[in-house]
Amino acid sequence: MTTVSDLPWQRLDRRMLVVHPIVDLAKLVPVLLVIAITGGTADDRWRLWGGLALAAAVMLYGVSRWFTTTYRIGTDRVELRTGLLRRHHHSVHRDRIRTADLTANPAHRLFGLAVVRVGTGRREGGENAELTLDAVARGEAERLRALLLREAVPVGPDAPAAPELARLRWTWVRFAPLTFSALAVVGAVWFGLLRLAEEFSIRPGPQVLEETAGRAPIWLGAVALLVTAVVGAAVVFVEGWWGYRLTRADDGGLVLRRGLLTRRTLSLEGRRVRGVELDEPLLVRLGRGARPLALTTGLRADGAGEHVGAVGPAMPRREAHRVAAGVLGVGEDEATRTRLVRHPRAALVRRLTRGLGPALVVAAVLLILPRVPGDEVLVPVLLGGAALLAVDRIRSLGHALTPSALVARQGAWVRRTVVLRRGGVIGWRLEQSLTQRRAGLVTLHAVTAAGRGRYEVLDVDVARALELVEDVTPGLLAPFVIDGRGARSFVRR
Amino acid sequence: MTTPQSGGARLRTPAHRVSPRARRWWALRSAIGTLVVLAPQVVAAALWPRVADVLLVTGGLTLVVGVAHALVVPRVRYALHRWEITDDAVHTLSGWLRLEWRIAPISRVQTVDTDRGPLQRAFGLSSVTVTTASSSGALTIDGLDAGDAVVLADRLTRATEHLGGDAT
Repeated sequence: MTTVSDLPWQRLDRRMLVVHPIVDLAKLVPVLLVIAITGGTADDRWRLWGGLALAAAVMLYGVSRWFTTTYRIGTDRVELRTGLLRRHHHSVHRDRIRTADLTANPAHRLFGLAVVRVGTGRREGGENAELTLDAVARGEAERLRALLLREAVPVGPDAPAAPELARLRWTWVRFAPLTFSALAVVGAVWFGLLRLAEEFSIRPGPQVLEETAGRAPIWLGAVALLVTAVVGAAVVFVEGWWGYRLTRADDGGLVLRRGLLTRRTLSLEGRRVRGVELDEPLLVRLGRGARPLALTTGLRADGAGEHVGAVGPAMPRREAHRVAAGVLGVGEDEATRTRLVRHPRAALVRRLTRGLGPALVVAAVLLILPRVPGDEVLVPVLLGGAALLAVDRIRSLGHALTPSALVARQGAWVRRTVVLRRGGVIGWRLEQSLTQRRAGLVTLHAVTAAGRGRYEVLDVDVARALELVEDVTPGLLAPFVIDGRGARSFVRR
Repeated sequence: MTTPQSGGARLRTPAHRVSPRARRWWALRSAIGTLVVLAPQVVAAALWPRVADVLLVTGGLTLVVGVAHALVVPRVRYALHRWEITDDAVHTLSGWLRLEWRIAPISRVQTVDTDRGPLQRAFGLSSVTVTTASSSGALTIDGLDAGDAVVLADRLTRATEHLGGDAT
């Protein structure tokens, strides 16, 4: 790498001359299909030439992108120029670069290419906070990533024996149908099938529907749903987590590789990791599984809408604890397995009243309303479910302060255990509702630059909350602390 | 319910109130809000006499609630909203039924903005917003005297200037 300021501009990989048009054309296929299929009364020649002209324009545009896109990586900034009619010059200071991620969709992989996405880790600014090189040769991409993140340049794709935190085990696929994404897959598949049936006008008439549906036993439908859920979830799991490997980088950061068709390499700079989270959605928890997440600054949800910061799929709980501790670089009993402090009794009572109260109201309404079918089943199920959830919330609730982090756990539908490094706390928020005031409790929010922005310690004793604040950020609240004998509110007016 | 633990530590309120003129600003804002809800009802009542009876009732209710809101809420807010800047942090206390105390350590402050809407300007008021690197770390002090706000923003900006790092 030369260091002169008049560094030559470089082009993307020559193979993009082919890839761009192909990818753009593939995106155009639905439109072309519609053009080809629809109508029948209009002039067919117009249809043919129109379609061809559109395709040609798209291909030309795709080719032009290679000629108009140039980049260079200088000593202090990375620059990218794009655009045919509207030239765009984008430049990012290298000090500001926080992420350099590689992705490769099937077309890229076919040609041995990868997209480099350079991020500054800023939340605002949207597109401007990111710079995308689409695409360069795989080896070049790896080299750029290492260069931009100032890592040691790897000799081969996975030549150096980087310490491995986790690797895919195929038995984990059993958790896939238990996650929420499984439901989404079922919905998408059935919606797609219905749309397809509609397109080919095999919409069954009402009498046909009645005959078949009337004859088919109800369990058949349930089985069909279940099978699509299981298969769909498994397919999504395989596509997303094929070849999953989590390794530790030289700087204490993490490198996450995964994906079957679209290969992703995500690097998390060590100094951006503020903590970890262990998510246990109810179903996954019943299967004794959990999902590890890293709380890092400057991560946005990717296009697939996946949970930000996931460092692994749902996996056995024991593994998840191990991965979470590995991400933080501490022992398990100082991370998500920390022994938690129970909350005051009033906090537990609040879980019960808040969980059972609404259920009782609904049950009462159901009982008062005349002739609601299935009263005798619905009411016990409702009350029993609410009671179980409330008890579960009580069991989940807890917090702790380790030498390195603040730990908080809560939740029933999704039980979340958050481990936030002390240094990651960049502010506080204390909240007290009217009922909390009466019970002498507050909800303490630790504000952080990572993840969801703040993490709460639900319903702690006022004195304990102040103690936590004092311990994590000494002196911050000291000028305000007074002896509040008899005061109910956490603020004495 | 258990009784709150007596003898525990509590917090005193932050030292400063906002400008007394903020009460009038809040009242005016409340009145405008009431008008926005009331006006369509009046228009509708004029256009469709058939529903005028119903609208008379809802309009009357709107007016009563609006007047009560304009009379009570600004006073309550003025009584409750407090702020203070210590050597280490910016503190704000707000809320009525739900108390909320926000703390932003000065070392973590990223930007300090003053903001004056047309209404605030009419009363010589200004808001100061302090943001940190967190998506939910911002805190705002509304209804400050415009002059005080400038001095405050200046002081905060100067306090954060000599601190290095990216405050995350």
